Amino acid sequence: MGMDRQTIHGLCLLALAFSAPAFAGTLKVEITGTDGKPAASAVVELVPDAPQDVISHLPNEAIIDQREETFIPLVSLIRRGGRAVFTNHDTTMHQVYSFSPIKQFEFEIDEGQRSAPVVFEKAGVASIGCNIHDQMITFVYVAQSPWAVMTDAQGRAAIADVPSGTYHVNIWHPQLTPGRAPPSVALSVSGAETKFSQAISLLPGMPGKKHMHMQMY
Amino acid sequence: MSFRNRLALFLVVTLIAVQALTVFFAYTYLRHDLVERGKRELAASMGVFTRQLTFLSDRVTDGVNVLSLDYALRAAIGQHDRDTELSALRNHGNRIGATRMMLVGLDGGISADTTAPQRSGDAFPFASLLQAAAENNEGTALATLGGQIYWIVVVPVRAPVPIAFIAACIPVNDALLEKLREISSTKRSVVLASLGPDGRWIVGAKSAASARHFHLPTAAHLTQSEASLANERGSEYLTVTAPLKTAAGSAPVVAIMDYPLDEALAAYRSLIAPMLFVLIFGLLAALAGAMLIVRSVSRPLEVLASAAKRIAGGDYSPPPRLEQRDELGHLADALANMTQSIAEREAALKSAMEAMEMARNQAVQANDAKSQFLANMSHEFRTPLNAIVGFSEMMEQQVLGPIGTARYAEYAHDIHTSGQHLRGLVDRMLDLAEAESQRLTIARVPVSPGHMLRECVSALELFARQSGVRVHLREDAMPLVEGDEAKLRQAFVNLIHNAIKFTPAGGEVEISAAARNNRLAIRIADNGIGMEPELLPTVVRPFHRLRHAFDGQHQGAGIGLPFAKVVIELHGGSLLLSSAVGVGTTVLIELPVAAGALTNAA
Repeated sequence: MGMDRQTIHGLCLLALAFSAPAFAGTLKVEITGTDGKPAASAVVELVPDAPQDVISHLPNEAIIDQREETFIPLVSLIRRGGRAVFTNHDTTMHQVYSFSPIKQFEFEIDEGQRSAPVVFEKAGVASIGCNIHDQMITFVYVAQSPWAVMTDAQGRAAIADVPSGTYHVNIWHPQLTPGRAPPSVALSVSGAETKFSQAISLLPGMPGKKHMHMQMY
Repeated sequence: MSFRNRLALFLVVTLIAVQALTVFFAYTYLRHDLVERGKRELAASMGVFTRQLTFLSDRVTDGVNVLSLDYALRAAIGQHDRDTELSALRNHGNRIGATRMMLVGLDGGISADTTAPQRSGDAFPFASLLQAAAENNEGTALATLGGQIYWIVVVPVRAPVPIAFIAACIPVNDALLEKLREISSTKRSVVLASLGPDGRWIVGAKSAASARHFHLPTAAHLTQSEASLANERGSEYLTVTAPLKTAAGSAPVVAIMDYPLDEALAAYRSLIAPMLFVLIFGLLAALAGAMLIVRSVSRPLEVLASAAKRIAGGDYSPPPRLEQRDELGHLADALANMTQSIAEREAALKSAMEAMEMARNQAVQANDAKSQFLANMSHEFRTPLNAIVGFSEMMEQQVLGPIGTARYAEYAHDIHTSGQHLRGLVDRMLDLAEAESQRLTIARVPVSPGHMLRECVSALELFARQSGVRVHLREDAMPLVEGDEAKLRQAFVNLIHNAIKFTPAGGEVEISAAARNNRLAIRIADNGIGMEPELLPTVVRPFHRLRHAFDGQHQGAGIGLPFAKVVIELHGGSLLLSSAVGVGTTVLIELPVAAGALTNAA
């Protein structure tokens, strides 16, 4: 073939430029509770109305630690097909389980041990608990879309390289009312920067701390 | 009615009234108190009862919470394993006494029900309990389900987020009520009733101790606890009906507590018989005591009354002394003292009267003796005086020959006039004495007063001239009177003589007469020296002359006026004197006019 490396490189760039949508911008999101206070650890996922075959750059693996009978972090965001590994830094054994529709599992981890990776093939939210310490709770958000992000303590987050188009913004938060469908908002993205802010109705108190009264017995 | 009977009757009636009122008020008060206490007790029992229901709910909630953490159940829910779900629910339900267990999805639909395993998908009727469970991890309330009253406990199942709700339905049945009643340690029966679809109350459960008998509320809705008294088949019941808090969407439920008033009153009723016995005994004792007291008062009073009556009758023998040293004793003493002093005073009075009587008799005898003496004396005087007057007249007229010396003839004249004067005096003394001893008799012949007065005036003409006093006789027509002319003439001579005698020279004596009402009034008035009016009664007494009259000018024996008074009174007339010093004296004589004499004026 008579093409030099330079030419191939240039062709590749061209191909990349054409394969990607012509315009891509940044989406800045701000999520608050209905009381106006920032909602941290909220997951915002953009689901394009027209399915696109794009490789997700979301994390492939989440490390969920156990310290002082608490799962850390409370919410993990991974891409579909990603996995979670549980590391027990407590001085007690934990029995980690999930009855969530997207993934059901149960295993024990002795203190100081590390679990086998749990692979999440389905998109959705898995609520994971410990059958020994009922107050322990963690959530694994398995995003189907590559454009998903978790808000910081200020309830803010940004998603880069979002192609212009129409989307549904799915918002999930640990304090949403169980059994009720999470909010989903239609959004059109165009230009370099799109702003999205949403107030969501949250239950008082973070999960994982609600079972305090159980310890009275 | 005697004092004793009245007092006894009063005491009996008062005592009966007081005792009847006491019994009545005591019973009424006790009953009222009992009702109030019953109400309070029932209210307290109701409070304890409802609190026990809450404790029960805590216990049940714990049991359900344990179930909610059951791994197999949660796995079954996650895997939609209906058989395992029902098995776990039944197993735990039996342990905590829930006859009906339900699994409710987060959407509120019943996903498993131990009473109706085949049916699912119905909405759980008490959404508020689900909401409470979601927010507070537990929702509990009393509620009716299919006509049965349940205590429903709803808790969420967490894995670890809520995936479903467990609803445990504890039937509130007779056994549970009885247990609650025992725990509450209330003696009162409890009945629970719920409002049926037809608007009538249906008994849901009753405690064992209850309720032959209870009263369902009449109103369909109770907002607050009600207490009422009911009478059924002769027994009284205090009933408290309290609305219980139920889950929204449930039919209303009330708790009814009965308090049999009769049982509570039985203790008091059993007291009535001994109380009545004591009351009657007390009444009799009081009555006996009262009778004794009344006797102790009335008996001495009767004794004293009869004594007083005897004393009033003049029997002064000492009245009985009373032994008792109270007011009545003092009264008896006083009566005795009074009787004694009355007796002493009457004795003194009697002896004084006897002495007076004796003195009077003596005085009368003495007066009689004096009058007799005067009469005798006068009589004795007349014989020598007759001799003196007769012989001196003979000597004066020298009947037996000339006296010789002229002076003897003059003496004889003097003897004769003095003798005549003395004899007149003695005659009047005799008349007076006879009048006083009521032996004087007067003649009853018609007398012409006018004629008689003229004679009197002419007889005193010389004396009047010598005294320098002018005598006027107003000779009006005068009716005849009946009497003794000589004595009447003497009387009037005395009166006119007195008038002239006590009138200074230049004075006047006026004699007038007037007839009225069958009486002839003759007035002899002078303007002489007069006298004090107080002295008037004394001057009509015999031999009494006023002291100031002893002045040498006015001589007399004090016989004239008393003599006139006696004579006029003997004629059925009257003599009145009136006088003032320096003005004069008036004598008013009234004489009865002779029968048929008014027209025949003299």
